[in-house]
Amino acid sequence: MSEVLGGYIQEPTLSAGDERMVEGTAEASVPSALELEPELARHPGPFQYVMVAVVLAVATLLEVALFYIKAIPTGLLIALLLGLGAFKFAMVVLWFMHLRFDNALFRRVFVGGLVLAFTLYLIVLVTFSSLRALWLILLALALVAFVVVSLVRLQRRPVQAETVVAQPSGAEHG
Amino acid sequence: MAHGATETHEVHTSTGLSNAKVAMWTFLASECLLFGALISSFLLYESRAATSDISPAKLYDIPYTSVSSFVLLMSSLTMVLALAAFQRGDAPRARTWLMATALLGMTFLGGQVYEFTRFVQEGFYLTKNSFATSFFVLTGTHGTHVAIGILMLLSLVGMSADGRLPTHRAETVELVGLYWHFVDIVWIIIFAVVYLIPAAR
Repeated sequence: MSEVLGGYIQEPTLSAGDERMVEGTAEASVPSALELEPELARHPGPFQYVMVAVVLAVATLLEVALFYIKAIPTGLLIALLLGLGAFKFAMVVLWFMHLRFDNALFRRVFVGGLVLAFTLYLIVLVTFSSLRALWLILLALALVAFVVVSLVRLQRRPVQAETVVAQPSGAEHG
Repeated sequence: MAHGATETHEVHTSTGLSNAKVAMWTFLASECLLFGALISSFLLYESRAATSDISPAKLYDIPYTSVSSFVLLMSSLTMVLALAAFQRGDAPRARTWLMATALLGMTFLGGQVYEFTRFVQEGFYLTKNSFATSFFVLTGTHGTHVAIGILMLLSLVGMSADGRLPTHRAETVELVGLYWHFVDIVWIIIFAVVYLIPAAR
C-alpha cells in the first residue's frame, strides 16, 4: 500500500482486511474502458467475431479453389480474385477494426488515404503501360472527389468546442 | 500485491475523439501509400518478368502460401478476441489471446523465412532482376511490419502480466490491434495480387 500512496507511507500499516477495502475503493474509482469510450458498447461480441472469421476462412478457401479451376477464363478469374480480396479486406476493416461502428472521422481518414494511394499508383501503372484502362483512372478520380467532398461536409458540421476527455494516466504506481 | 490507484488526466481534443486513435488511423492511411508504392512497383516489374527464366507460376508454392495466409487471417481473430476480453476486464484471457496472436504471427514469419530460403536456393534472390527486387522488398517490408507487431504484442503481454496495463486502458490494446489488422489486410491484397493472379496467368 505504501507504494500506492506514492511512497508517503514507508511501511505497510494496514491490516489485510483494511488493505482489501482500500483496494476495492481504488478499483471502483477507476473508470472502466466502457466509461472512457462509450463507442465500445456498439462493438460486436466474440460470437460475431468468430462468425466473421468463418466467412473470411471460406472466402480464402474459395480464392484457392478458383485458382485451381482451369476452366475459368483468365480475365474472369482475375476479377473474381480481386473481388474476393476486396471483400476480405472490407470485412476485416469494418468488423475487426470496427470502422463500421466507430466514429465517421476514422472511416474518412482511412478511406481518404486508401483512395489517394489507389489513384496515385493507378496513374503510375497506366503511365508506364502496365495497365491500359483510362476508365480506371476516371473511376479513381471520382472516388477521390467523393472522399474530398465527404471530408469537407464533415468539416462544416458544428464541432463541439474544445472537448476534454478523461483518459487513464497510464502506469500504476508501484 | 500492489494494486494501482490509477489516475486519470484530462486530454484536450478538438474532435471529441481520442487523439491517439486519430493518430493511429492517420498513420495507417499513410501506410496505404507506402504499400501502394511497393505493390505498384511489383506489378510494373512482374509484367516484364514473363520473358525471364523464373516466372511466378514456376516459383510460387500456392498451397503453402495459402496456409500462411490462413494463419495470418486467424491471428486477426485472436487479436480481436484479446481486445474484447480486455474491454470486459478479463486480463488473463486477454493475455492468452495476445500470446496466441503473437505465436500465429511468428508462424507466419517462420513460413516467410522458409519461403525466402527456398526461393534463393532456386536462384531467385534479391538482386536477380527488378522483379525479384520488387518481390523481396514488398514481402520483406510486410514481414518487417509483422515482426514489429509481434514485438508490440509481446510487450502488451509483459506489461499486462506486470500490472502496468490495467484493463481500463483497453485503448492501448486497441491501437496495437489496429496495427495488427492493417498488417493482415495488406497481406490479403498481397496474396491476391502478388501470388494468386501472377501465378494464374
